[in-house]
Amino acid sequence: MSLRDLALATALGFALLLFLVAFLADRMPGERQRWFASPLVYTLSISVYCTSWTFYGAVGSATRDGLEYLTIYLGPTLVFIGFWSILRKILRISRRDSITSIADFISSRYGKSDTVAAIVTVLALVAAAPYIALQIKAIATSFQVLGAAGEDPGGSASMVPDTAVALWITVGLALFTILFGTRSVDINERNFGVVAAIAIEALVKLVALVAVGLLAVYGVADGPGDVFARMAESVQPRPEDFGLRWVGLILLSGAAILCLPRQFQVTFVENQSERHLLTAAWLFPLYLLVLSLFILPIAVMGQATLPPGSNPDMTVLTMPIAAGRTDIALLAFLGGFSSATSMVIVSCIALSTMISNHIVMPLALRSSAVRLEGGGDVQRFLLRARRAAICFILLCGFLYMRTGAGGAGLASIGLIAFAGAAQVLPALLGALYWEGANRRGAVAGLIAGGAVWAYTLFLPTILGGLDAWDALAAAGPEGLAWLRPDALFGMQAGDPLMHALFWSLLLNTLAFVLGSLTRLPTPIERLQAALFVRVFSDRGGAGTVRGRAASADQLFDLAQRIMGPDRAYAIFRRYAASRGEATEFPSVDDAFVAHLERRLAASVGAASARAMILSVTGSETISLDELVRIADETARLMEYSAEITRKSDEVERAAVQLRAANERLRSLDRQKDEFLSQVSHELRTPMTSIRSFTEILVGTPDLDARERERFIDIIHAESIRLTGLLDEILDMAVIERGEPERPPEPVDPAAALDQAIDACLGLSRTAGVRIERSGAARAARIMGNRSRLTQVFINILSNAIKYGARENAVIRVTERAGEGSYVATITDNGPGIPPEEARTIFDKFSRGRAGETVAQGAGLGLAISHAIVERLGGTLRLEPSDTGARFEIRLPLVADGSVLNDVQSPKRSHSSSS
Amino acid sequence: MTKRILIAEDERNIAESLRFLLTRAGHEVSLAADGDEALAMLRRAPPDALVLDLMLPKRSGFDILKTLRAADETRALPILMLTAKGQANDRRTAEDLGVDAFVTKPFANDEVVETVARLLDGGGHG
Amino acid sequence: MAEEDGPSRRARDLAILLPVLGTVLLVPPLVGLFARGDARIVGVPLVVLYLFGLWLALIVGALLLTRRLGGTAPDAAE
Repeated sequence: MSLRDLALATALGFALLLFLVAFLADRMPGERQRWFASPLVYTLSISVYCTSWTFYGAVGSATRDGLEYLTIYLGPTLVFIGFWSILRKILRISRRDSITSIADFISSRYGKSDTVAAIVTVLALVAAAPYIALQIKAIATSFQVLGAAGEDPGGSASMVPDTAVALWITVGLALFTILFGTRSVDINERNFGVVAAIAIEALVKLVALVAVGLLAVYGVADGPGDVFARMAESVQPRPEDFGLRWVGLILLSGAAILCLPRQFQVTFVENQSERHLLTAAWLFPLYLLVLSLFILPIAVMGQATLPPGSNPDMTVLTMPIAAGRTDIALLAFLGGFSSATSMVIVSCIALSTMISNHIVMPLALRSSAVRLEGGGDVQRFLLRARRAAICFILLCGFLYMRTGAGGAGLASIGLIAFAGAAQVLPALLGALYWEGANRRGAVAGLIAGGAVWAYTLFLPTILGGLDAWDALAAAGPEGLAWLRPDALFGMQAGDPLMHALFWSLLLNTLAFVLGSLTRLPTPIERLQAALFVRVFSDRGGAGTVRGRAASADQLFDLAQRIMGPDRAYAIFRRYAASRGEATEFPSVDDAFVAHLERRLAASVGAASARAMILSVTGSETISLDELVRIADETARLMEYSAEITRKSDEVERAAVQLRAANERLRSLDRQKDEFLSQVSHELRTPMTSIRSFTEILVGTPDLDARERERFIDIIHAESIRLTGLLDEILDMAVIERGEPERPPEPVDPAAALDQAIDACLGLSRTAGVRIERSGAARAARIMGNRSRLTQVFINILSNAIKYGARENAVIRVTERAGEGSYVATITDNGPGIPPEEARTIFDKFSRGRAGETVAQGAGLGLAISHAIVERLGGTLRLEPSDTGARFEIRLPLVADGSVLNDVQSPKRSHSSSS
Repeated sequence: MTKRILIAEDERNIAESLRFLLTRAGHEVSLAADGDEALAMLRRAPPDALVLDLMLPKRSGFDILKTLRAADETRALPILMLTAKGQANDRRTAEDLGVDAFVTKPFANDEVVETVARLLDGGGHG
Repeated sequence: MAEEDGPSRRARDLAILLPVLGTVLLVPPLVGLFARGDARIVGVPLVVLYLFGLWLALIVGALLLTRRLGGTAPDAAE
């Protein structure tokens, strides 16, 4: 069995062991799990900071650049011994708000904006690619070194990893990470299994490196004295080593320990107790110190004993092999394997959480792929999204490694990732200490910093070697030399990293500050700012201002979709109990909604949790931006509620219509009674005269002949009147039924009007009414029935005579013809028609109240006229008028025959030709 | 002795027949064609009895009735009301307002003449 | 205010000052002073001793501080 196969078997066995540990840890009873919730385990999990970069690369770095490698550990040391200021504050906020990731933290602070979260996520993802690539490369290279042990003791041939090996390692890591990081369907629980495995790997790293270090000091060299004596030849520190780059790297690593997604994950998200930080504050720097301490002799002795041209990044592995200690070599391989896998697992968990919560989930909420109110299983959806994200992240890492950057030293690849992650620093510090910082500033800073970083550092590593990029890098884009990626604004720094770090952080900070100063924060930003910056003074005041209405059932339905029914039930039950409520579900108030939002935020991040809560509670008082962000989801829900409203509207409308119909029926009934009474009255009046005079004639034999004749004439006239009245009623019935009386014929309306005026002359003269006629419409023709039209005019004229002015009564009649219409108006100068009667004046059976005082006609005249005009295709309207009543009769004209032909013939020929 | 009777009726032919009938019964008859005219004549020269149509132009019979009953000098004036409507509630309204007799059109001539005679004898009131 | 009671004001001030002090001591020009020449103590380059010594001192400082500040952290029983 070759050393390589042995290593493979060891790695697989080790992986199995880790699974076993994780399995047991997850299934341990609660009290025993407390062991994993210890400050020691917490500290060891933070040491996921030390990856292959540390394990293999730090020795390489020390070999190349002396003590520079220490900066990578001094930065985090300063941050941790300064735990009181920054770490404690972030931790307090993260625990209070159930923060899920660095992106969630930043976005929470800046108004729970998912734009901010998405930007941080993308930035973190891009920055992770080189970092993941570094791990893949380290494992691949270590395999190659072990495989070539003997022929190539220095591992010089392994500077560039074999693609096939790297691919298999990538696939293996993906499987390993998915199995580890997303086993649990319950994405919410703290994962004791992962934490336990990471802690064991941290111990393996430490033990392995210390073992190799001891071998270097006491096996290869003759004790520490010998090591330092040889150091003079290799790594002699000089004052110029402690220049700008030294400061820059300390700053960079200090930023990384805060901003790297995986560090944020283990330090803040997985934290069990704030007390644990008190231990990590000194124990983690101590862990770093010990590792750093043993790196130095390994580097010194490697350089002193290994053949020239050896790969310094692999000294940790090649030195034990060269010394004949395959056991230590295997341990070292296992240490490297542990460093790489723990980094990949935690990074992937952190990044996949960010991707699923801040990119996939908002998109899903928008596209309605996740149905919150339907039967959708959000949990399963999230889990799948996370698995897909893990594969994607590892693929990115693999692809990055395949680019030209794969050939660089491990440490320099790692620093590119650090610089990318560090772009979050201004927004993070602003979040903690500057209440005026707002969303615009954060977005501007992150984009500016990320862009400059990508342009000056990230892109050159993957595009370098392409002709187009090299040309651009040499001359600047469009020939603008001041935009050269390695010399922005003409700054010729020999060190591309420091150049990129300077400009990206400077522009980032400037954009952040200016962006924040140029816009007032929205209410939710202001609220979150206060909650973050003043976390220690505002005791537990995490509630947001809302007025809302949601039932506990609705909220439970939402919660169980995200967290599963058991957990959701437990949360509801516990909350109710804590309030002293005897019910299963607590009564819903702002405090409970805020509490639930925090619990949901622990699963899906603040922005998504907020959107979900809002989708249930519906109401929002915070800001327009937020509303716009969840617009689609809300719109969908609003549509649903609109549908319900629509339905109840329909019922309401039907009820209104029914009421109206009822009212109308009642009114018709009343009208019918009134009509019958009117008809009765109208019939009785002539009947009275007829009966009375008949009785006089019969009962008065001595009546003189002249009087007898006069009385007979009266009886005759009243009989005719009675007949006319009956005719009118029958007319109405006929017109109402719409039966044709006679075929329509061309009628001259002016002539009909003449006839009507003549007929009314007697009546008007008696009443002292003057009729003035103006306008002319000769030769106009309408289709209809002349006698009917005359009837209409007579009716309106006689009404005008009857109801017009008592004194100086004048009736103005006008007519005109044009634009296809014949229009006649008849206006009196009487009191006019009151508005309340104007509406019903044409109604059949309707007889204005005036009828009580002016007993004339049967009240059917206008109704009949209206019906007649409508049947002629025209309109009869009561026009608004200053003086008295004004009726307008409008009838459609027929063109005479020749005109008809002129109009229609071209049309016809046109249609036939087409 | 002759009694003076005012007939307030807008239908000319009905007024004509009433005048003929009451004149023949020995009364002095005057005519009013609308409500205002009737009131004016009543004020100028109060008659011994009034024959009042319900549906008069300008001022309804009820209106006149109310006015007359409100004034001291006409409170006891015998009034015969005529109506073509013949509805029960009109009759009740008229009686509430203090009408002495109520006759529906078309009427029998004797009924009108006898009722007027009864009213003039003072038997109708109350 | 939550911070009025709990650890003494001095401990809190030190907690803030410790990283500041550490930073000042770790960056140039101070650190450069120890890298001048070929000064060694028992064969070890002076700057190596300085850096690791300072590092260890900071860790001890942090350890002592956390002991004094320990009372403030709220217990995390959920």
